[in-house]
Order: sequence, then structure tokens, then C-alpha cells
Amino acid sequence: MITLGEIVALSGILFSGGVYSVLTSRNAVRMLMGIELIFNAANVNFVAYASTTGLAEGLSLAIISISIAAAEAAIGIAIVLLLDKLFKTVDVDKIKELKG
Amino acid sequence: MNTQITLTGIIVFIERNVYLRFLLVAIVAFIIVSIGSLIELYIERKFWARIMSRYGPTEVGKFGTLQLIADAVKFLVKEDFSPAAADKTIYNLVPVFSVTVSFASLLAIPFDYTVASLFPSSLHPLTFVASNFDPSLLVAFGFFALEPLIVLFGGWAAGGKYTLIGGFRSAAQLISYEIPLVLSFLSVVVLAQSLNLFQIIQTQAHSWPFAVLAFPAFITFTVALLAELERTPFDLTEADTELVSGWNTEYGGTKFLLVYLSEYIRAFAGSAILVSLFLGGWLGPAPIPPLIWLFLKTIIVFTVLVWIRAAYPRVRIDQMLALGWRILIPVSAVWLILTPFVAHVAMMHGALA
Amino acid sequence: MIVDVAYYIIVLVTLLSVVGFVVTKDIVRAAGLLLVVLACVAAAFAFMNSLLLAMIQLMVYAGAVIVIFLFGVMLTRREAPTSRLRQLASYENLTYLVFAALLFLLILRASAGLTSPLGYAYVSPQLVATSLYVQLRGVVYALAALIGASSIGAIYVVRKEKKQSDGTRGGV
Repeated sequence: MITLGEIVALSGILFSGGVYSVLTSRNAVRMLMGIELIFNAANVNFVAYASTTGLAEGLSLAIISISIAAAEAAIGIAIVLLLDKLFKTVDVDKIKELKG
Repeated sequence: MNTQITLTGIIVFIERNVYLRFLLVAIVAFIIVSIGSLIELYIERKFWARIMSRYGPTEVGKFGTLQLIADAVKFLVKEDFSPAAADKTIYNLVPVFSVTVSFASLLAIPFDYTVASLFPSSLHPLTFVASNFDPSLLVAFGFFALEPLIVLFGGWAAGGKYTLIGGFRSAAQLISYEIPLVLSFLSVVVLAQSLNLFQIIQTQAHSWPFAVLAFPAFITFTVALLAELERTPFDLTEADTELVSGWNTEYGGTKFLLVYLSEYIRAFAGSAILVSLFLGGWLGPAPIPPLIWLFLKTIIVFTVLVWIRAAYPRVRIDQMLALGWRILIPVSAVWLILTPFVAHVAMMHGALA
Repeated sequence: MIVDVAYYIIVLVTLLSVVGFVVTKDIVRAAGLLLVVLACVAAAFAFMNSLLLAMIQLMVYAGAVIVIFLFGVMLTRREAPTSRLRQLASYENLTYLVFAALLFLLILRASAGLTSPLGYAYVSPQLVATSLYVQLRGVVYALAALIGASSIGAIYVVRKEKKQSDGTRGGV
């Protein structure tokens, strides 16, 4: 039988991997991909607790969270593409000025 | 007498062991799908040829039936190369992923109601292909919709800029036409009140087929399916008389065989989904068993797709995008909004269960 | 028993893919490994008896969000990849590694208390639809109003720009 603790451990792997990737990446797209990992960790938790208690609100919140994460990824990539056009690079260590 | 007991014993053993039953169902489904795809490939070449007033393959096998096997052997014995600038891991994995995804979308299509007729003295009818689970329509469509990913990775993995641009164009087309596809099948979901393909076919047993009740959705689904399968008139991304082959230009030999095969398995899956949603799946009058009905309807739908391929010219990319975003999405969205009223009227007159 | 083994395989694949994602220096391989992670999360949803959410995860995340990231990767300039391991061995990044490891250990400690083997309840799509459109209908209305307003605004802005640039209208 799969216990709830094992599912939360899986979401822990995803969460810490996402946080580490956001903190240590120089490429802006890799940072955004790390943020998606964090979203997935939260979704795994939502679905785990929803199927444990049998309430459907967890699944509905997971669906809403997935759709909002997708929209946010789209806007993030649009911003990164604009950054590339303005600064000619997506290296976040080199983008230091606010004026563009 | 002895063989009767052994056969019954085997059936009981299979029924008591869940994983063995899944394995058996998977093997039989694989065989059915492969035979279906081969028949489709044969019809494509012969029927298209006759529309163009030529004969198609006639040499190998009695009416060119073994030509496909000859072609497969030809692809298999070619050299296994990869371009120098290619990313070898992704380049080798893309054809495998493509075939896996195409077969996986067939998990969810219910093939038959029972195969009791195959076992003359069976104890209980085996429900064929355990596809009576609730989101089976989403499963069938979800694997079908993983194609833009394959196209992008495939176009990038070969390492050249023309395949990359071909990959972008294919991905743009595939993503644009997923939305009218989903909005069309949502009309059917509203009419049948279930996401379960089994339940959708059962609802059509007691009412008019959904191709009549949701006619605009049927038309938009067919057009969007043509674009999703990248068939003419929407094959501008792999126009094989103009570009070489779009995103799969640099694939040769066995890898190209897998990509080509996955295209036709997707065509079978798409036609089977269309038949299950709109034309009643395995329903049909008695003497022909339900499995053969599904097969027959899928082959007829695919023949109509081949006919469309032979008859229409190719659209340009701006015409294709305008058709998808400006015409198909508003039409399918408006029909989705009108569907509950249509369902109410149909229920009052007994045309819907 | 087979289910347990399958679940442990999924956890192992996820761990290896996350580690690979962090360590690899080629961004397109990182996107491929992210795809593997998202597919494993979909498998985890299937283990928790909700195929609906597994398929939504595959369709939305693995089908669309990864495509967005691939477009973003392939359309931006990136400098020649230097060794990522050397970059990861700097003091700053080692501090972050310790931080991430402590975070993971904290979550493991919290999950170790949840050891009761619970059967996973099946929530049918009808129940999900009821809870989404009846109890959470405020959220759905707010999202719909936001999407509608932004679509109308976007169409207005694009048509104004197009009218300023030229007067032609392509396509059908």
C-alpha cells in the first residue's frame, strides 16, 4: 500500500529540486522551468490530500492551479523573449540595469 | 471433450488473474491496430492511385498487398546514420516516443462489447479492452495531443536550421487546431453527459447518432482532425513535393519507418475516436459482430480522408492559421454554447436518451 | 506488491530526472528531463486513483507548457555552455545546495509522520465538476471575467496597431 508519506516525499523531491534550480541558474528559461517544478510539487500535495479524504475540492483547486501555472509560464516566456530582444542575452547575471 | 475442458480452464485462469487479462487485451489490441494500420496504408496507396487514374502498387503480392512489407523491409535494411551536429540521445529517442504515444492513445477506445462469440461455450463474457473507465475520452485525446512535443524535439534534434523551422511550423499548426478539436468533442460530452467513451457509445444506442445531433461539431471535428493528422489539405509543413519532409527530413531507415508508422497509427486512432464520438462506435445491426463494425466504420472514415487528400490542393500557412483561429474556434465555441438547448429539444422529442 | 514496486520506480525516475535537470548544461536536455518529471507526476496522479487529473496534467503541462518552454529556449540566444558543474561548485551555489537539502529533509521529516496506509478514494469527474462549478463558481467566474476582459483588450490593441502600421488584412 502506498502511504501518504511517500507521496509527500515525492512532492518534497520536486519542491527542493525546483527551489535549487531557481536559485542556481544563470539562464532565465531554466529559472522558469524550476518554478514549474515548484507548482507541480504543490499540485501533487493537493491531489494527495483530495484523494485521501475523498473531497473533490482538492482536485478542483489542482485543476485551477494547473491552468494558472500554464498562463503564468506563457507570460514568463513572453517576458524572457522581450528580455532577449532588449539585452541580447538571457543570462540573469548580465541583466543588471532597470533602464532598457 | 478434452479440448473443451482445457479451453474453459484457460478462460477461467485468465479471468482470475488481472494482470494476465490486461496483457492479453493489450496484445490483441496491438494486433488489431497493426492490421488496421496496414489496411489503411494499403487503401491509401490504391484508392488515391485510382482517383489519379493510375494503378498503385501491383507487382508485389496479388494486388500489391505485400508491397507494404517490401517497403518495411527496405527501410529496415538501410544504414543507421545520424547527422554530425545532432543531439544523439534525443535524436534516437524521438521515433520511439512517437510510436509509444500513438499506441497509447488507443488504450482508451472501446473496441467491443463482448467477445463471447469467439468462445462457443464460455462461462462469462469477457468485456473486451477494459476501456470503461471514466476519463477515457481525455486519455484518448491526451496522448493524441502530445504530438507538438515530438515534432519540436524531432525538428531540433537533427541539428539543422531548416528542420527546426519545419518543427516550429508543424507545432504551430498542431497547437492551433487542438482548440477546435476539444471544443467539438465537448459538445458531444454535453450531449452524452459523460467523459467515458463507452458511455458515449451506449448513449448513441438509444438515440440519434451524434453526427446528426451535433452536426456543426462533426464538421469542425473532421476539419480539425485533418489538420491534426497533418494530411492534405493541411500538409504544408511536410509538403513532400516542395520541402523535403519538414521536421523529419533527417530521419532515415528504421527511424523514419517508426515515424511514418506512428503517423498512420495516429490516423487510425483519430478515425476511431471520430467514429466512437459521432458515428456510434461498435453499434450496428446484428449479423456483423461489433468489433467488425468499429473496424469497418474506421476504415470508411479513413477512406473519406484519403479521398479528401486526393481531391483538394494544399493551403498556405496564413490561410491555415486564419481558418483555425478565425473560423473554426468561433463556430465550435458558439455550437458548444447552443448544445444544451439542442439537447433539451432533442430530449423532448425523444431523439436523445 | 506490484503497485508498490511501480511506485518506487516512479520515485526513483523522478529523483534522477530532477538531479539531471539541475546538473545538465544543455538547456534543451533540461527541458527533456522536465518532460520526464512531468510525466512521472502524471503517473503519481494515476497512482492516486484520479486519471482525470493525470490526463489534464499530460495535456496541459506536458503538451503545452513544455512546448512554450521549448519555443522560449530555441528562440533566445544562449552563450556557449561553460561547465555547469564548475559553476555549481562555487561557494554561493554550495550554500544553496545545503539550503535545498535542508528543505528536503524538513519535508521528509514531516512526511515520516504520515505512515498510515490509506486507501485512495476515487473521486469521479461528476463530483469534480460539481465542486468546481457549484462551490468554487466564484473563482471560475472571476477567471472567466479576467480572460474575457484581457482577450477583448488584446484584440483591441492588436487591431489598433495593425491599423496604424498598414491597412491590409491577410488570410481568409
